[in-house]
Amino acid sequence: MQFPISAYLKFLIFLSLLTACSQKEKGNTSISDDVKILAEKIMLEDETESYINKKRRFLNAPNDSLKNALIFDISYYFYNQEDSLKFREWNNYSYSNSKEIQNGGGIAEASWDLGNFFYREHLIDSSYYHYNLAYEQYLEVNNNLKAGRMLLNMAILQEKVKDYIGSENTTFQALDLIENATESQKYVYPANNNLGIIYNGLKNYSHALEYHLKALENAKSLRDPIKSARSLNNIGVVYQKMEDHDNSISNYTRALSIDSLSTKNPRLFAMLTDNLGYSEFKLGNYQVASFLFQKALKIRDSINHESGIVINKLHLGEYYLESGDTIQALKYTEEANSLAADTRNNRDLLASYLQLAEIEPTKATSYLDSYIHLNDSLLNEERAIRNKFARIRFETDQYIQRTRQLSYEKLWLGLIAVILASALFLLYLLTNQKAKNKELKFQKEQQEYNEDIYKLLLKQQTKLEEGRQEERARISSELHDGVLGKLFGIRMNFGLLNLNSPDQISDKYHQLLEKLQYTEEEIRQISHNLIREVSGSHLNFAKLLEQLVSDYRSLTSAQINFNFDEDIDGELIDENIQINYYRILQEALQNVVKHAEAKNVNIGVYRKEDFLLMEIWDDGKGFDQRKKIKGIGLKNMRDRMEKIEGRFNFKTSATGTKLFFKVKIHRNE
Amino acid sequence: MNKSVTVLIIDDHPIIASAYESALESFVTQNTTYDFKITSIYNLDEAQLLIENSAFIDSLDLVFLDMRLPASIDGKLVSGEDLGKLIKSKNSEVRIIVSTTFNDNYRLHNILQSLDPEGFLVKNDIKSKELLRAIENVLSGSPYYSKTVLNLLRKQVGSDIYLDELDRKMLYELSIGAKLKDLSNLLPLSVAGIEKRRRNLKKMFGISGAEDRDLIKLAREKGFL
Repeated sequence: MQFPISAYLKFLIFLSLLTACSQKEKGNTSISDDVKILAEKIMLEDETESYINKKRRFLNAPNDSLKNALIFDISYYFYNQEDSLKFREWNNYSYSNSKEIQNGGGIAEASWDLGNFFYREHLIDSSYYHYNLAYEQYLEVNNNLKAGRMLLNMAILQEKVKDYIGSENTTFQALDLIENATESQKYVYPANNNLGIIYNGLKNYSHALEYHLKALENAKSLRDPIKSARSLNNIGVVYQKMEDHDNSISNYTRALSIDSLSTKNPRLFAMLTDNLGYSEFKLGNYQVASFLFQKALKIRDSINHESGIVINKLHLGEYYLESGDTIQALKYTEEANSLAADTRNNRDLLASYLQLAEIEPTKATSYLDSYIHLNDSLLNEERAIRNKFARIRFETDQYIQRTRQLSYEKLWLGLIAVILASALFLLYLLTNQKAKNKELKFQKEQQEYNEDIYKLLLKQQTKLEEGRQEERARISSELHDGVLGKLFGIRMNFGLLNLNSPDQISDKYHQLLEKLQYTEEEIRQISHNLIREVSGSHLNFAKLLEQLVSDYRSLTSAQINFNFDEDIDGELIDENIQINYYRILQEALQNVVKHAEAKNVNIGVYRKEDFLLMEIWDDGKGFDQRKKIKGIGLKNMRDRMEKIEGRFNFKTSATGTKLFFKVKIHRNE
Repeated sequence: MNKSVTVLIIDDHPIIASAYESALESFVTQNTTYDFKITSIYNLDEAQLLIENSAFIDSLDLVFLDMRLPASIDGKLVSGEDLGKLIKSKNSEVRIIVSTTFNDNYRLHNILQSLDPEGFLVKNDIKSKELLRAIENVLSGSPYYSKTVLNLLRKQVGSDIYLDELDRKMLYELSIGAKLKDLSNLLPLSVAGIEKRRRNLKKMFGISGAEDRDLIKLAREKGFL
């Protein structure tokens, strides 16, 4: 099992980062340096300052990725120092600090470190639990390779408690995650190796060989002689189990022939030597075997490889038993037994009990009792751990499922929210558009109405013009035919007067003078008429309304009375007021004709001080206020009155309706 | 021996009729060769009745005829012009002295065309002496036109523009403000026909623009209106 990233490497990265940043952020560099120096002081246990003080100062430094990396460095440092207490402490900091700065990879790494720690302490279930946490966290930050590696760690743990099926399962899951990564070879090797070990444990030797050979291929492509040797050793072990000792010997020999293995990995070299000796022993080559066992034991003693020593001594015990030297056999086996017990190496402890029973048949029952007792407790323990694993995995699966479900729900919720929002937005646009259209339509109508009014006014104007023209023609003909003719007659008569006899002159003269006077009178009359016409030409507004009323008179059987206050000077009333009053009256008359079934309609337009009032009342059936209050007719009236800043009231009952309008005539003065 | 002359005066203004009577009287005092039998009538209905009398119409020699008269009750006669035509149709020998206040050439031209009167007096032109001279000329057989009429004739004789009745009517209607679409109701022509005629008129008068006003102005100068 490997540590996530070597702290040294991290430190290098961090240093290069520092130099990269130093040019840009000089202000920050000094703070960074301080933190860095402080971290070093904590690790080197510099005595100038108390640990607690240093720690406090360090933790008070502002959070950033540098500080986070340094925490991991410190934690790793104490891990290597096997200072459990401080490691746990800093591991805890690394976890919480990563969480604070939302470094998902960091959170996973902290769990990974802790898993490693528990593994080293033989706390397999705790280790498994923390690897699992790391696994979940890596999945969350989409780091599949590391998630796969966590699974691999868990698979190896499962194998340790002989949960072969579970381990196999987990390994394949790990392979799924790892295979797509760029440096997959490096991590596929332990997976294949583990699978080989599992199948060996399951006594499925052909599969075991297959996977160990695969692992060997991986090791070769990685150009890693140690891994190759390990795989060859494992292959040899499988053959040994199959009792094909020739093949196992050839594999062990191949591994041992790897260049300078004895110095690079003496532990492995000793194991190979021991295993080779055992195969030779099984083939009956006792002398070779004895030599190899002693050689391996010597190496293992020198590196104090306890579990190796136990196995080695067991092998020696078996060898001496086989060669009939029970004293030596008992000595080695007992040594193995006590060392295994000391180091809690249960697997070999069991084997030693069996071997002791064989060596001392008289004490066989007590040894077998111990064996059974230990085996049972071991089996129970393994079962318990397996159950724990299953529970942890189950919870994880549940967790994954739940998060998946949650994310699905989130997705759906999001989708629904988006759809709903867009639907609402569309609805809003639609209604807005509709309102705008309505307004436009209304404006258009308004314009059309105003145009109608204008046309009406124009028509009125034309009529007036026509009338004026007619009047002119009349005046012209009156002057031409009447006055001019008469003047001509008088002039002629005066002209001829001199030629007549003097006694007739007086009579005729007076007669003609009289005629002149008449003509004078006639001219005065014409002039008078002209003035009278002019004074009567300002009744446009009244005429317009009158015209409208008379139009409606022909449409209804109701009696329509129209009163227009003589006091109103049409010219002084704002044109807008005129137009709107006209339209309102039209609307009201329309309503009366269409709906009211009235017999009498009275319309009054009055002036009261500065206000122009209009009242329209009928004796019809009225209307339902609640129903019709929003009817376009009344709304239009109200709108129109608002536009000219006037007021509008109405009263309606079953016996009639009364509308009342009031507006200030001179608005802007 | 005095020559008897039957005279009919038709004018809706009695004072004018009396002026003619005075003129005839004063003419007699200077020229004793004539003996006038004068009848004065002030409306078309009476005039119509009178000329239905064949004895009277046959004996009629001279008529003073006002152009603008109120229409007859039956509506057959609407002006002095109509009455003049009726008289001429019954007795072509009758000499007619037309008196009118019109002074627009179009009307004058129309009267010349339809009545060909022996005497043509525009009331504005004449004084008492001219009235007497007119009576004298007409009685002696030579026509008498007052100066407005003479000017009109002179202009028309001197002009190389020939306008037919429709051209003249169109010009007249245009001059009193008729629009193109009104013309199609007033004249027996389609709108296209009217436009073509109008284009021709403008060509004749040498006008390039589209403005009717210029046309009217020139037509008035040249004596067509």
